[in-house]
Amino acid sequence: MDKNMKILIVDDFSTMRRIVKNLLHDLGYTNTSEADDGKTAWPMLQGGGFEFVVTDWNMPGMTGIDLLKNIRQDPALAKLPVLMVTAEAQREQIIEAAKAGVNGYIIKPFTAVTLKEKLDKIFQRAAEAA
Amino acid sequence: MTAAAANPRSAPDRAEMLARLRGMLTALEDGDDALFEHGLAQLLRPREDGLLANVARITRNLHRTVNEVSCDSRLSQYVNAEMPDACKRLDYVVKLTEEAANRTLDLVDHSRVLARNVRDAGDRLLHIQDQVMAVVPQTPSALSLSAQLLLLHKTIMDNADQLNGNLSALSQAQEYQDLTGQVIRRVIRLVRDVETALIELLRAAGPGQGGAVRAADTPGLAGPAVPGVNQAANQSDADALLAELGF
Repeated sequence: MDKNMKILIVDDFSTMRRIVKNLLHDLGYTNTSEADDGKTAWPMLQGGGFEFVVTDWNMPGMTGIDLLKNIRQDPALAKLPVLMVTAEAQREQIIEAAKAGVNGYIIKPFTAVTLKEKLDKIFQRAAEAA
Repeated sequence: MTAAAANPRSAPDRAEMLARLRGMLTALEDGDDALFEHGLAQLLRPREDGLLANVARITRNLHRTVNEVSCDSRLSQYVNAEMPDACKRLDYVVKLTEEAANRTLDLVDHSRVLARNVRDAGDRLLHIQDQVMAVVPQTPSALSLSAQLLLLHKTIMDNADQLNGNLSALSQAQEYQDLTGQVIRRVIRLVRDVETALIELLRAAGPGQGGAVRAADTPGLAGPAVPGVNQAANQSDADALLAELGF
């Protein structure tokens, strides 16, 4: 996988954005940008260049699930891999995210191992599909 | 009302009911709709009256309770002072933990640079050891010093790597701030909703004021799982569920 891929981290808590950024750096992904909710993320994604999105669910402005739906509906972004990292742990939420086309779902609190596992799985699937 | 229906009717009641029903049957057979409707209305009135009486009683009770509640000065004390105060305290907790977590992350970032410098110094040490050994005669004491330098290099590298691992764990541990922050924000929202509802209750009880108590907003999302408070999936439940859905 191209470790220089451009990744967008979307979370309303700056602490969590920093933690995800640090974890991604540890895994070798250093080309990251941040947005504090879906509303801020959307124009950044439309600006192009992002190859991966890590997003929280519950955020003011635009939630992660709405961001995901917007991405899937946009012809230019529809295939962008989206990994949801959220504290929302209800069955219905997981199913809703799956139906909206999420590529991976991580429940907070999570570990570096879980993040690596989900990233690897998503990239492996992308490689298989290509 | 259902209890009344279950009671056995007295003989006079029964005779009166039969007479009414016969009268209604005759009216229906004669095609006298007006008379039939009148009979039906009379038949049902006692039940409707009972229902209205019940509603009136409940309303009176509610009104009395609301008045008693609003007379209690503790309630306005809660609404005017203690609830906003509780929210401010919780806001402060969120702010403090966020600052502490960010301060920790700043120090982690800085320490990562230091750990990288230590590693670079270790690499340079190895390089210099190489160069020195290339120019000095291979005496036993030179070889012994060289071996010590190699050992030192290994110690430096191992420690730098462990330091990096600890810094990653330290960064990861700050995750608590997001979760506790989310939980506290939900409690703040709940307290504010209760506050709004109480203000409306006080207003409704006030003289000449109408209005109803607004139900607290029910947030659509459950938020972070709190052990012993709510049921939620863990990562392996989520993985199993997604696998079921073809992920």
